[in-house]
Amino acid sequence: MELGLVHYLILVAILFCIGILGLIISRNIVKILISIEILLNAVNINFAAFANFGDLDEAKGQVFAIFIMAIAAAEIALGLAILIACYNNRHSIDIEDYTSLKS
Amino acid sequence: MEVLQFLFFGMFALVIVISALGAIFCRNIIHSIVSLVITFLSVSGIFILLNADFLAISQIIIYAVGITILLVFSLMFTTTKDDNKLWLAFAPRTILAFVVAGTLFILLMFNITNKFTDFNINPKSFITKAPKESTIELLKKQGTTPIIGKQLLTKYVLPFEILSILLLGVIIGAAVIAKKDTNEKNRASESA
Repeated sequence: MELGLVHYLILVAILFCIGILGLIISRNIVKILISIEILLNAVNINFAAFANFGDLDEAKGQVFAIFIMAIAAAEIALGLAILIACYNNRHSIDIEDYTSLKS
Repeated sequence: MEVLQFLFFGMFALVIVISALGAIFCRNIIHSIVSLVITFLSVSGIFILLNADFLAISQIIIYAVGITILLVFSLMFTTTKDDNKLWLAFAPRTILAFVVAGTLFILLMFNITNKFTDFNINPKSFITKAPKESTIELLKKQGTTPIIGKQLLTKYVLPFEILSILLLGVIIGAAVIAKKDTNEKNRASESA
């Protein structure tokens, strides 16, 4: 058996769909943030796979994966800060409790 | 050699899928965070199979350590014992989630395999080329770190600098947002 691009793409498709599933299915806000991390990880694998099978001399995909990692760290820091601020207001981390914009 | 590579890929892929499912479906949030760490570590194994050594180490440093610590600390601030009941959403949303994820998976496979006709290991929809011999020799000697460093400071220097400004803004913003409002606390103590 030889290892090719399609194996990585199928793995990424499965991982991305698990992330989407978790994003919609969970009620706990921390779990939603976890699902976003899984999504970003899937995208990172995709970038690295195309860098490996396309242009390993320049490794452009790996550079973009580094950018995504930095943005993921920024996103999780801000998301958790907003979560703590919301928790101080509502004393709940259930996503169903944040409905004050609903008229 | 190739069989061994395939074996490692299958192992890592299996661990990734199982632990990602565990991260979503575990009842206890701490268990799902531990499962997430296992996912991150196996993803770094996949990066090593893809000749991306710098990415693999960054993955462990940033994701498996940094983000996990942030998640655990925020958990200490927020979660109470009866949050275990927040397992899955109500039935309509759960069904919707499965439908959306399944449809997305079928669409992605449709595109990868070129309308379910092309099952080659290197699909014809994507241009792939094997790395040159000289590149492989270079990678064996020094890894991908010099290549990435050169790219970051020449071709992609503008996104790099914008990213540093973004990170500065995020540090300040996160500190300001998460800080307890002192005025509000004073008012509460006055009224009490």
